[in-house]
Amino acid sequence: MKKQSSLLLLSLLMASTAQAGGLLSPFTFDSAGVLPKGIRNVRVIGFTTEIEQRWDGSGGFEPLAAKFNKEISYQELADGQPAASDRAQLKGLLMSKDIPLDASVGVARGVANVRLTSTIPTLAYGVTEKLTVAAIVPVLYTNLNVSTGWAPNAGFQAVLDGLSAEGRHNKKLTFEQKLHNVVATKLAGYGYSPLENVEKQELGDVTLGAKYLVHKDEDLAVVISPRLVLPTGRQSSVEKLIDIAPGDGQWDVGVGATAEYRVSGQISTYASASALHQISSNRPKRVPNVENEASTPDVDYNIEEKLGDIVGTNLGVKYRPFELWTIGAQYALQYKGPDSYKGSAFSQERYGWMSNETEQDLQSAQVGLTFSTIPLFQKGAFAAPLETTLSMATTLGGRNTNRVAMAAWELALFF
Amino acid sequence: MKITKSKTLNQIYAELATVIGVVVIILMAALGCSVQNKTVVNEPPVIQRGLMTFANEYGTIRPETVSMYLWPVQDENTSAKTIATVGRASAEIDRLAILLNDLAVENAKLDAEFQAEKCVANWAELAPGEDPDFVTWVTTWKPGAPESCVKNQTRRQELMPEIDRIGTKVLRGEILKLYQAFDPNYPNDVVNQKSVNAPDSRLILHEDGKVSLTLRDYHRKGNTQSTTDGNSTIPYGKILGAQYIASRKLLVFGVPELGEDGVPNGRIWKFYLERAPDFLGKARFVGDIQVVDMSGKVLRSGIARIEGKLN
Repeated sequence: MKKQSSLLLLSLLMASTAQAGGLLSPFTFDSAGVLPKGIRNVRVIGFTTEIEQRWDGSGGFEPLAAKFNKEISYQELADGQPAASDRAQLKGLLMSKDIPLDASVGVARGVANVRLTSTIPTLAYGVTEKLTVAAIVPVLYTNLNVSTGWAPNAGFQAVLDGLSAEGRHNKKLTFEQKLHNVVATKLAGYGYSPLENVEKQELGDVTLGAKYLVHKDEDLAVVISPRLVLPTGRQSSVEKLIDIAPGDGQWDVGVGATAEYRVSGQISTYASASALHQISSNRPKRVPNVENEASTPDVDYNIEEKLGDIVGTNLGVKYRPFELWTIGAQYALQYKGPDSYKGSAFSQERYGWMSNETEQDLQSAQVGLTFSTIPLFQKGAFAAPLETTLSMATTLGGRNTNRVAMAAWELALFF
Repeated sequence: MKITKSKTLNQIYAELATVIGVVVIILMAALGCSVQNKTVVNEPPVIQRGLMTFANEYGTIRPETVSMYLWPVQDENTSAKTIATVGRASAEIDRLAILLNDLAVENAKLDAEFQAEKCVANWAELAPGEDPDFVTWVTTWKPGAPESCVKNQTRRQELMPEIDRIGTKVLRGEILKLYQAFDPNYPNDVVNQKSVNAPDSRLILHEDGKVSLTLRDYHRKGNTQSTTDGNSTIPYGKILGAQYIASRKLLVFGVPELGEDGVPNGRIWKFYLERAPDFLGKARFVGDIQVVDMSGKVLRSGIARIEGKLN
């Protein structure tokens, strides 16, 4: 096995560390390398992406806030009123005028996009010539931009105008605030915090991992890599409709295996497979009152959440045209099973709805360029064994995952 | 260390690449903090539009109707049905009242024409000794009787039972429907309807926005509650905060509620009544009631209406 490949480290451990519970395109290149005994490695990995679209469940993609853009009915308008008396007033008024509750009042509009940037310091240590252990501490920066609005239709405006003619103009004025932005009103009525642009930097779920070299000869190296994900990141809040949380509140255990084969002095290929089991936990969570609706007024404060297990595989190739430069490319295929929820506060059917659109798959590709001073360092021609990688990754297809392109970087120091 | 030309170049190369790599990483990390601030257009409905444009009028209203109803305490869906029933019944009562008024006006006009043409005196076949002044309907017309007299009587013979039918059956049926929406056991158990002696009550709208209001038999027979100091028969029963907000055509006032012992119990009935278009020549104020406790918490809500000629 080439020295160069042995110095690419722990990338397998990185998968899924940056996006709690779901799939994300890999942003480091796999390797079957382990650290020599007694060698430490500090590595800072990062990526940045702006998420605006997601792969839907039918092979296409849609805006992240697609569920905001829809017709609003009188029923939804009524449901957004926190006071039962206000809901009854509106429903009664409509019934008296023979206006069906499912009639449209207008169109809701929404847009959401988020900048996701993760910086992931990693500390690794070669315990033996075969075993390397590592701690990975992701720090997640999110910058959420969200905007909502709506446009009433002529029919609804006519109903409003008619109220004035009936001597209810002043009554109508009392609803001016609530009708200004019915999306915001509905969310407030459901007990959510107002939607707003939010910028945060938070600690994610820390991963402890290891790589054990099970086989190594001149051309082939094979490692297995168990890992444990700690629930150190903040969970999403039930108070917020959109909350990019850095953690999922669950312990995860996983294992992977990578085989790397040297094709020639300049080319090597690798293949890896991994599986991650997400252990269930109890937490507060919103329970939908209508199937496939994003917002709901109901919270179960002790819901049992079991996020779907994740399996994935990577195929990659590395080409070293020059002594200090390596070009890498990889393809990744991942699958996450559906989440499942159990609770007793509401009907079982409603808990079943929570699993909708949680089954995920994702195909992605990554290309990158690595520069290493290690060959020079080994020759005594450079002071420090450093390694820097810049890469681009993109999703190629998927289901219920974000459609993104990301830029990633790594800086590693060995000592 | 022996430095060869190629090693030196490689070293420079490595140093430059490392520095550039670090700079690029820092740059990307910095760029990684920006996000496109996309927004959508919010086009809320026009709420301010629609206030009736008729001019404000001031003077004294001698109420013919003062209606006050509290919504029954019901669950949301039942409450919505009650509100719908009341809405439909109110609209139907208004429609019937207008129809009844139109029929009565037509009948009166025909009757006046019938009298003016002296249809009975000139063209009715009267029995010997029959007084034409006591003839309601002509049973036999003399030959040559004008068609106007015959048609007039025929039309009035249609109108009279229709007026009677609407006035005594249809309209009363709708009113009963309205009452029973508030009190299902009406007339046996009336708890959500408040009666007021309308003819003896007074509402005066002053041009400066001040309001003089006197309500008779409100809460209890024999009581008077008024905006004027000394006019209330109940200690601390004075009507509070009465004003007419001309820009919104809104009449507001608060009436202290009386407890079982006839003494104000701290609750206030707040009225928010909007001047609606005149109804059959009468000024009409319609709107909401909120019964609030001393902390301002709304305990009950309802609707109210005051109607009367404005002089």
